[in-house]
Amino acid sequence: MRIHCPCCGPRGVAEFSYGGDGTVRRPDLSVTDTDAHVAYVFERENPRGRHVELWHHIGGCRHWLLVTRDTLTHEITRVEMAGRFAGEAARMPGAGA
Amino acid sequence: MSDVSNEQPRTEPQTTVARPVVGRLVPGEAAGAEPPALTLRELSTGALLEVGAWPNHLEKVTKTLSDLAGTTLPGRPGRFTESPSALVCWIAFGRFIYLGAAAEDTARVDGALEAEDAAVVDLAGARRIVRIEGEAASEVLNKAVAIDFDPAAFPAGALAQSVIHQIPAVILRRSETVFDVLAPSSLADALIDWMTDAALEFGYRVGEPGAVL
Repeated sequence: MRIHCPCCGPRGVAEFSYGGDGTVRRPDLSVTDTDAHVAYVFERENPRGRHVELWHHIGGCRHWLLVTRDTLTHEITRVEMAGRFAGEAARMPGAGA
Repeated sequence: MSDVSNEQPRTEPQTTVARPVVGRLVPGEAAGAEPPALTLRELSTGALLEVGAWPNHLEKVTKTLSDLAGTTLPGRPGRFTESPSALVCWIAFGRFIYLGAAAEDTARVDGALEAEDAAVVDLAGARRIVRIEGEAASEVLNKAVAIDFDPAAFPAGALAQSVIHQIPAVILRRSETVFDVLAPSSLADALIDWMTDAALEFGYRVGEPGAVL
C-alpha cells in the first residue's frame, strides 16, 4: 500500500504509522456525561469500505495525514494534511519531491 | 602421570569479519568492483540547526532564514537552496534544517528568530553527513528507499526524508550524481555500514572528509 503524502509524495506504507479513526472528536471537557468520554476513548466502528483515518508520516515529514481508505480494497481516494499546517498544504498543492 | 587432556593445543575462536572496519569511513579504503564507480566521504558543517515555525508565522520565518542564508528559500517543502555560506532545507511544512558554514551561525540563527515565531534546536552534534558520489549513487540509495530519483522527478536541489536501513535520513541531491545523506549521529555507523555494503557491487573508494559548503 502506498500513501501519497501531500508533503513528500508517494511513499510505502512502512514509513507511516496508523493513528486510528480520523473522525472521532474529543467531547468538550465541560461535558460531564461520562458515556460521551467512554465513547470517545473506546468505541470505534469497524467499517467495511470507506474509512477516514489518521496516519502519521513518521519515516518522512512527520506530518499527520487524514487518509480516506477503503478497508476492503485498500484503495486510497483522498489524502489531506491534518493539524496546524493543513492550510499551508492547501496553498501549495504541488508540494513534495 | 600427567593429564594429557590439559596439554592439547588451544584453538583461538574463529572470527568472521566481512570488512576490517565497520561503521567508519577510512580515507583511502576501497572495496568491491574495480575500478570503483562510487566515492563515499564524510562531510562536516559549521552549524546545523532545525527550525520549527509556529503556524501563521511561516512567512516571517522563511524571510528571516533567507536573509540569514543570503539566498531565496525554495518555496515549498522537499527542496533546498544554498549560498556559499549556508544551505537551507525545507523538510516539511513549518520545518527547516539550516546548515551554516561557520560555527557562529548557530548563535546567529538562534538570535535572529523570536521564540514566538519559531523553535530553534542545535543539531550540530546530532547529525552526521555522508556523501555518496557517482553514476550509481541513486541506484545504491534505491536499494533502501522507493523514491523516484530520475532527474526529472528529483532534480538537483530536491530533498527527501525517508528511512534507510531503519535509520531516519534526509537525502539531498546536490547534483545529478552527488547525494548527501544526513543521519542521526547515534545511527550513522549503521548507515555507513549499510552504505558500504550496498555499494560493494559497484565498487567504492573512500575520499578525504570534506565540508558540506
